[in-house]
Amino acid sequence: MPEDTGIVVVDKRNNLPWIEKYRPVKFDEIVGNEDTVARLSVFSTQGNSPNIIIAGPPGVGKTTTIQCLARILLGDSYKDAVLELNASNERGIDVVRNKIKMFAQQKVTLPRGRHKIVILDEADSMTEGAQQSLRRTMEIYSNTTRFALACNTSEKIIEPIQSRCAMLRFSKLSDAQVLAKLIEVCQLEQLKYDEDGLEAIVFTAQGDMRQALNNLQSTAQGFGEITGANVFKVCDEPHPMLLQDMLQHCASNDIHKAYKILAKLWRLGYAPEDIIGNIFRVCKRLNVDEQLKLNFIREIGITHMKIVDGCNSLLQLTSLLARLCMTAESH
Amino acid sequence: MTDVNCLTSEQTTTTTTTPTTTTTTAEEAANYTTPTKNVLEQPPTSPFILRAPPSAKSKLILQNMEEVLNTVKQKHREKHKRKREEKRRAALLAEQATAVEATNAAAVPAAAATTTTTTPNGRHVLREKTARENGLSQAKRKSNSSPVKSTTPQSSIMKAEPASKTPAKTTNVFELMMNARNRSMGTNANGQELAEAVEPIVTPHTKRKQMLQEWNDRKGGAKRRLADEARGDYIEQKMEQRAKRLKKMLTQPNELSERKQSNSGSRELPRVRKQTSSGQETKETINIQEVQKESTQTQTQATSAPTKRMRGRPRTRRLSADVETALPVSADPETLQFLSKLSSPTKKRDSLLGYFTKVDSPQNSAEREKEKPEIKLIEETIETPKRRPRASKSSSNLIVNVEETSATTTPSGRPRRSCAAKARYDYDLEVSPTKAVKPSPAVEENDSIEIIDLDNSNPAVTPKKLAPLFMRQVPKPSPDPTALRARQEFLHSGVPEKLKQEQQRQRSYEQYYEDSYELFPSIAHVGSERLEVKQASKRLPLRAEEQQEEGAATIARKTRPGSITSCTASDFVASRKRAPCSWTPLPQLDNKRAMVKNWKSIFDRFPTFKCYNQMREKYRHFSAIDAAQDTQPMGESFVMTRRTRRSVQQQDMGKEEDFHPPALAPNGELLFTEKYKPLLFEQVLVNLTPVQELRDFLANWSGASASNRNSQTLDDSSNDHDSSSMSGSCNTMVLLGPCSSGKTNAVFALANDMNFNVLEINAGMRRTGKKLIQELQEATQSHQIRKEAKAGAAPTQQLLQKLQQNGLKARRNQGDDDVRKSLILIEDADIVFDNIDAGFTDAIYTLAASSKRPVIIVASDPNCAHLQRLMQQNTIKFQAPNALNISRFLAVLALMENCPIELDELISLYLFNNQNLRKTLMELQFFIQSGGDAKREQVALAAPPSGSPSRSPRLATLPGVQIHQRLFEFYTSAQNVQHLIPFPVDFRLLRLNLGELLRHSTQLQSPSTPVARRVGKRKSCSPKKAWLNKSEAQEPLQTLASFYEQLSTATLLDATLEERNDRLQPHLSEQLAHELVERAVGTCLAAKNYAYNLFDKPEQRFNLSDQLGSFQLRSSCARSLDYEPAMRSICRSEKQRAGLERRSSRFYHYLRNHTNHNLSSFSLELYDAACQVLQEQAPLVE
Repeated sequence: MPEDTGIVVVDKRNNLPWIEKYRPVKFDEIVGNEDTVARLSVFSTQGNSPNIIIAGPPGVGKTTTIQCLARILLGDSYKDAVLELNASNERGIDVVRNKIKMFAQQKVTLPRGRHKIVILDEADSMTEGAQQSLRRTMEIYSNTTRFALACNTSEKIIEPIQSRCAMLRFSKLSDAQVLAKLIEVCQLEQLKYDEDGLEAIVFTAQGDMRQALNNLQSTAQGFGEITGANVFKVCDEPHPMLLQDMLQHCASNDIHKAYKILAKLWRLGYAPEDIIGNIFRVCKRLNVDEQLKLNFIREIGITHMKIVDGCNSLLQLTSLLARLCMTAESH
Repeated sequence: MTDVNCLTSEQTTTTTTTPTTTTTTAEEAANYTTPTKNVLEQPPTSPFILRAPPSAKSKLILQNMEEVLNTVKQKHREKHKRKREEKRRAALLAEQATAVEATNAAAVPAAAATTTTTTPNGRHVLREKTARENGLSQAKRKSNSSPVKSTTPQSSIMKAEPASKTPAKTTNVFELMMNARNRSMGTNANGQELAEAVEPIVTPHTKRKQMLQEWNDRKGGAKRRLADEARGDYIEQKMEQRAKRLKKMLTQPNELSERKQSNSGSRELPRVRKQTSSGQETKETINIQEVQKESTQTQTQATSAPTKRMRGRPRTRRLSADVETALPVSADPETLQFLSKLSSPTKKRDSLLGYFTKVDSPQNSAEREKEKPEIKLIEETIETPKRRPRASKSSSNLIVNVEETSATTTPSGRPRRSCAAKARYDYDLEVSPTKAVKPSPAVEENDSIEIIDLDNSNPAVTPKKLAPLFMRQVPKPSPDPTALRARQEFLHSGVPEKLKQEQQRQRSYEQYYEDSYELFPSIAHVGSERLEVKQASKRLPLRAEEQQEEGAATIARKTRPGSITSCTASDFVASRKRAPCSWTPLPQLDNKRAMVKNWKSIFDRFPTFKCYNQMREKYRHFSAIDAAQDTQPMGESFVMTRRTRRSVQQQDMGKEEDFHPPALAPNGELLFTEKYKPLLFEQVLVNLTPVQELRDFLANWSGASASNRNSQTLDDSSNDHDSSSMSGSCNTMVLLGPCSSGKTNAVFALANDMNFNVLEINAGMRRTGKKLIQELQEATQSHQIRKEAKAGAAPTQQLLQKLQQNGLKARRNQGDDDVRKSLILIEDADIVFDNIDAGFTDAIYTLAASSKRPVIIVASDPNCAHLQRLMQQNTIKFQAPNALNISRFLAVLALMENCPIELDELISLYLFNNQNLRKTLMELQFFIQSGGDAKREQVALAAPPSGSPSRSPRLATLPGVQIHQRLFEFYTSAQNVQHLIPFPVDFRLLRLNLGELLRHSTQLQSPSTPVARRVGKRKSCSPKKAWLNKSEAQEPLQTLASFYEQLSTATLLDATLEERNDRLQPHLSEQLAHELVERAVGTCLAAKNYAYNLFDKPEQRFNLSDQLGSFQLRSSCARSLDYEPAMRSICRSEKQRAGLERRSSRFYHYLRNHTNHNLSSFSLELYDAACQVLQEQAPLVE
């Protein structure tokens, strides 16, 4: 049954943002964190899922996973048996004491092994009081109701709640995972794309699938073709290729060329925070000796620290280049 | 005085401005003289206007006039003043001059009439006024030119013109004006009243003025002639000067117009011709120029002052300014003399007035002269009331002049004074600074056109029409019907054609001017570059595009896949095929008992078999229920009691392990925490001591009730006795312990075991004090609760019903004990929502004081302030169960669930979860029920050989049984990206693991392989040996040093990260730190196969002041020396005091206000911990 609805729904959505249009409805479609997702898919068929907390950075599919689980687990009775509260809903103490409790007490006929599900999205934005008043409720009604929480930082979930849930940590998607999904979407949308463009999107997304799809859609609707240049027109960042060249120049101890690039980037008006961030990310993939790269990263880290402290002038970045050159020379 | 100033200022302005026009560059001159050029046009246009027939479009004109009015007013005021001065000059001259000239001079009072109000009727009056002014200016010119030979022959003709025309029409116009005024404002006879006013308060100014007058009178008679001569000389000189200037102007405008011609075409030509044609005209233009210059001067001055100010203020200011400028110029002795002569304004005015009358009607002149002293008298009376509001003498003087002159001549009864004052006031209000700053050329043109227009169209402007103050009673002469008609016709006439044309021309010229000249100068001090860019390419260049241009060389080359991202080429080729998640249920293990037997030897001091048996029972039980419920709907009979257990045991004695999970719900329906929780005292396997304590506590109550039950007769009395004896000391018990240490479960298990009803109050309920007392009243006041079967509508019954849904209504159906004792369980008592649960704390204390039932309070916070008093009475402390025991327990549990898991994994997970049993159970359930190790076969093959030495002995397995090993890995490792070190680097953990890392480092060991003895002591590489082995590429010491350097940088980076809580994305410095550490570990050490310890978190060091707001603490010295001790002592005293009384003190609130934490979660825990540090150290010191 879920497969049918999934296809129909996809056909219906044409004017939606792609993040909604291509939001997975099946576990198979969820990218990344395969192990956890596969286990959840087992629960979706076998039932009796324990309370779970899914924690992870944005854009990795936390909410999607939970919704998949609920939809597949409960099927047609999704409407009755699922209470979804996200940060836009009021979730104060009163809501927990009344609404959630009432829902937990409700009698819904479900197949055996299935339970009602309370989805608390962005649970780390719940007040501590609300979480406290939730703790015993989770236990008392565990025979009929299970909780699924999604949050960014697990530290903001109080320990009693954490102790009643299995903590599943989602991590950032790998570039290959994002890329695979992008290619899939491009093919579905019949977009013209080249590897450069996709890689640029992957670079800008930083493991955030939502951002990747948004960028892809922006580029596609703005320029039609997904090329590297177009992507960087949409997501205005210091160009990684320029930075790569710059670092290569540094590695070959040629500060003049490196500075030329840096000065150009500076003239273009990029914030030093952006520049240093991209330098770091480019440096991670730089094709130089590992030891040298390690030293480079250390210098970048020190410069980043200075920039965070407020010394975000061109001078600091220039000194970074100088130090990189010195490192390369002594290496 | 003031007149002198004005005059001199005028001179200075004229003299000073003319050189500037000559000397300035052509451009500036062009800007400067444009207004004058506009004015130059006027004289020729005026005849046309005169000729233009009045039409019905007069309203349009009026509108135009109105627009113009505001800007003009200011100018006019200046003009008046100047003209008055000139008039005075003229009057002086007129003593010898002809009567014809006098008529012109009489225009001055008419000019004074300009200061009328702006009522609809008054508007055309204003126009009239301007006309009169023009007439006046002409008259002035004549008066100027008369003694000296005028430069142009036309002047004499012009002279005669107004004189001949004026007597005919003047009365009509003025009367019309006054009528209109009276109609609009009503006739009020204030003039009379003022005239009759009592002796005024003489200010020093007036005194001075009078003195001056007297002085002048004394001196005047003799010297006047001299003065006149001197004046004549002076005027001659002046005329010469003007002629010179005129020449200059003539040449200059020519140049200018020639310059303009190139821009504006031939339109300018006639103008120039006109200029050159007649000297008289040019002279006039110069006059007007002067006027305009002066007016602009005053306008700029006016703008500097606020728009709304006292009436006479701007004038005085300007005058003072003029005085300053005038003084240096008037050094010429001749002029000085002249000025001194001039400095008796009143006298001259008097003579002037007399002169005027002569002009009008020679037969009246004698009469008028007789009137003179009278006028003087009255003048003084009028003057004085005016003077009071006036700030300065000069302005008052001027006004008085106006009044006086008007009083003498005007036939109508209105006093001029009031209207003048009013009009002046209006000016000040209406002239907005912006308008005053730059009067648009169009406005100026209109203005000047208007002037000339009225000048010529209404030649009726005569000095006769001045408002006479003393002739008010005289009946108004009826307006001349023809003049009236002409006037009306004019008013009804639209804008004259010529005027329109002129305006249009002007407009088009302005348009052209605006088009041809840039509004903003092209020389910009900032952003000129951008302007160029904008001109160069119309559209805004995209940054990326620009970037593309230069970086084209780099970007054009195809990026190698994976150069900037971790994508590989293969990723682009095909979308990856995902392995379908294949889930096969875990195989049922048949030989569990045998395995447990094997394990028994390892699990020393752990009740392995007891545990196993219990679990087996439960497992079987629930499996049986599940299996049974495949066919039946779910019942409530799964609750395990003594009796059922026994029956189950008896039933299942024969079969060993033949239960299979039901088909429909293979995972069952319960959480492990529910499934395997102890239901009886005997089933409690961990944390035995606190549970025993609790049982003893409850046994008291249970025993008492048992005795009661035995002796039913003594029921009441003994009950009372018992309760009174007990409740005083121990009817309450506080269970303290960390999260998931089994507090609540212990209570429920014991209650189930000892036949208690549990009345639970938890944080999920509304628990205000009132409600709490209300609900629990009955339970607290009696030992027994009514049987459920006969349950009434008591609120406690409903509560019970709820609880029984929880599956805890044990023994309900057992026949032997109908009566159950109740037990009040207050969960989460340390959590109080102040605003919602008002009175909760008080209710607890009330309950504790009055209850006849055991009250068990569960709290996790040992420092909870409001429970301190209760805690001191009876407290049972729970602790997190021992990891070793728990791992065994979990191992048996996992085995029962057909998924034996390695002990190490269980211990690790348990420790990783901060010894949280419930969480571990949850995760275990998640792991087990989703199939254990996902890649079962691979692991089964790989696991046995990779037997790395672990701390605890491995579990023995039987053939065919796979031991799962990926539990811990699943919960800790990132699944998308493989890290050597878990992503947010915990440097405390890193420090712990350093030894392990170094031990496994291949980089450190490999160079030392030739030196075999160093293997044992890698870390302590002596520098000497390192020095000896310097020939080698990478020294261990060097490696170590660089490794530590990276680590220190990473730590520094991590330390900069302050707010760990308020972020969604991992911070860049965090990423940097992690990358550094990971690469350092990977490259420097090249460590492999090390076990990274994730859970042995060392004791955190508390820094009290870390908890304080950082804004208060700048210096670390003050922090450690002042704040910390103070905070600690406060904490200590606070803790002590909290033990005595339960209300929090102001120190508590103080601390609370100073913490960074959100206020709802504040506890003294931190401070308490900080205090304990000292308390622990104190014995050491002793």
